[in-house]
Amino acid sequence: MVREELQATAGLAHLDLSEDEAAAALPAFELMLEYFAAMKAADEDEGAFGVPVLDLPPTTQAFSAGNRLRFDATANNSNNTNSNPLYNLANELLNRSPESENRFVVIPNVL
Amino acid sequence: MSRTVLQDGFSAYLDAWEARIGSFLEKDAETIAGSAVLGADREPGYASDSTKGVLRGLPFGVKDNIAVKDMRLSCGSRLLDGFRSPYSATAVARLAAVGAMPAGKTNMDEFGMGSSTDNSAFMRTNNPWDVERVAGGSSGGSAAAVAAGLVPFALGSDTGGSVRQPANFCGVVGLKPTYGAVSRFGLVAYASSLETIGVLADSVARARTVFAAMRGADPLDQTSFDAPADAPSLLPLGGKPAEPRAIGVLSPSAVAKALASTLSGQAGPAGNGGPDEAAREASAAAMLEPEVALGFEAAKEGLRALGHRLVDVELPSLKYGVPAYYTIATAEASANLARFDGIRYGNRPAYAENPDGLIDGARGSGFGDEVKLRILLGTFVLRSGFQDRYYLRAQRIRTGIRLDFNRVLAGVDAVLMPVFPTRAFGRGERGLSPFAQKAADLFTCCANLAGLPALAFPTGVEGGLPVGVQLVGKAFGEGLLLDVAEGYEAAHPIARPAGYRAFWG
Repeated sequence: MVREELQATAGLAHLDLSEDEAAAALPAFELMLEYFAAMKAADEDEGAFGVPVLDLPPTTQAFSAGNRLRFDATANNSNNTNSNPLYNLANELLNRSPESENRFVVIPNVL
Repeated sequence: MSRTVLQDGFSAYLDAWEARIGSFLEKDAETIAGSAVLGADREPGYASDSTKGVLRGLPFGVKDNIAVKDMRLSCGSRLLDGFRSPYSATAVARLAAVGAMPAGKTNMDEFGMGSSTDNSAFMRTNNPWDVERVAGGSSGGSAAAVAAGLVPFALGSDTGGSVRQPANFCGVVGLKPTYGAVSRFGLVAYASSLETIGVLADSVARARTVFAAMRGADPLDQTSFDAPADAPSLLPLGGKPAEPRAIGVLSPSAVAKALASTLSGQAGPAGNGGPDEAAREASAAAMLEPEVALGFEAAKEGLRALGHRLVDVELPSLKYGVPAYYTIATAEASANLARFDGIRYGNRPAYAENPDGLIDGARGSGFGDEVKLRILLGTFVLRSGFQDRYYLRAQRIRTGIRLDFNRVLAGVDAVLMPVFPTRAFGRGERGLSPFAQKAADLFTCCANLAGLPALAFPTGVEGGLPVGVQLVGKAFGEGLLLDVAEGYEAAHPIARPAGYRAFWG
């Protein structure tokens, strides 16, 4: 793993790594990737899975019940049946902005 | 004893412990102390407005990545320092609905990434059994607070063992429920497909009551489920002996041996085939410390004496668990933590040249080293050209592990495993390297990959520190695990650290 790969990845992740930080992170990063690479052995390891691992479908979630959509209503609606309603959350959130004006959030000046 | 005297006694007790262990990032001492009076003084039928429900009057700690309205929600990160939640997690709201009172936010490894709670940006949490040692992590504050008797129970989150490992280090009960059994609404996401909100409690019976109160489908979390009608009951044992069960025993030494033989000799990521430091360190980290091995054998004897039938089982897929787990967890983390950009969430730098600079600056100064490492790893494994090699392979291994557990659990009621290869470790030279800490997630992370419930409970004390085991069960089989553990606890009462006083009824 060359340092440039790490820096390129950091750029993708929006992490501002200084040269020193990148140098400090590199050994742990490499060690973990080396560990990840050990998964390659699973491709041939029928003893571990009964079948070649490449024949197994990927699992993205242990259980899934498909899409269940929330009640389509504004949060001010008290029909929300949950015991933890998002009642009036919109106002609550707006009130927490550092500065607001008539339900608009005031943001810092951008050049 | 008068109420005032008792309350004063508790406040001093709370302060003295907190000075030594540092479990809370924010606490409502009045709530805790006030309920200590109720807790100790409570009589059957005691009734006032604040004392209704099965958890009436009991305060609880909440890990700082679970929302409690108007309390901080920092996830142990500088990036979210000062952020206060506008609403409560469903789990918290459901506990409050049966009389429990959220009493504070507990310390944690930043965003749940760690095994010690030393990765908190704010302070370290010490183990109540030995303050020179860590409380475990990432729910270390919750575990320490319960172990010291500051609260009767606390909420944590378990992505790869973050409830069970600190529970094990501090000598309390830790339940990681079935994936989806408890709503994740209000839990700050780290690895969404793996994590659950769990319970750390001072007794198995308490863990049961808390879990029963907060589980169930929630319209605000579409990955939440009600237990099927034929799931084992969560009714308390009420002093009756637990029904004898068939318990599969995983031999920890066989697992470590398989790990050593399989992982060695693999080429590095660049195909350089260099010396395999990772494999060597990983198999060394999986070896049980002698005290933990002793505790494991004692637990087997104890379970046998209670009438359970112990059967040796093998889970050959387990050796791939940790790399698959960290591939998936870091990949999901890199996506979930993208929202912490100083714009949508998080503190931002005072000045930036442009929007990219603002985001980079917010993340660069807000995240700690471990979080950055995991985001880097997750971003890397999802990069185009690398996905098949890492992420997709990990997802297939995950399927294999799930099927392996299903196969074993078709023949037994639960699988008995160690929780962590060591007892609570020390810091510095007496500690574990960051890599060894990850490799040691071997026994915990597989339940998350498979989505299965797992219950860690203390079984004794070895060399002055608590040891314990975990039971992994079938999906929605928490009731069965709790029955077995409650029976064990009745025969082997949980040991408490020196200076512990029981305030909670």
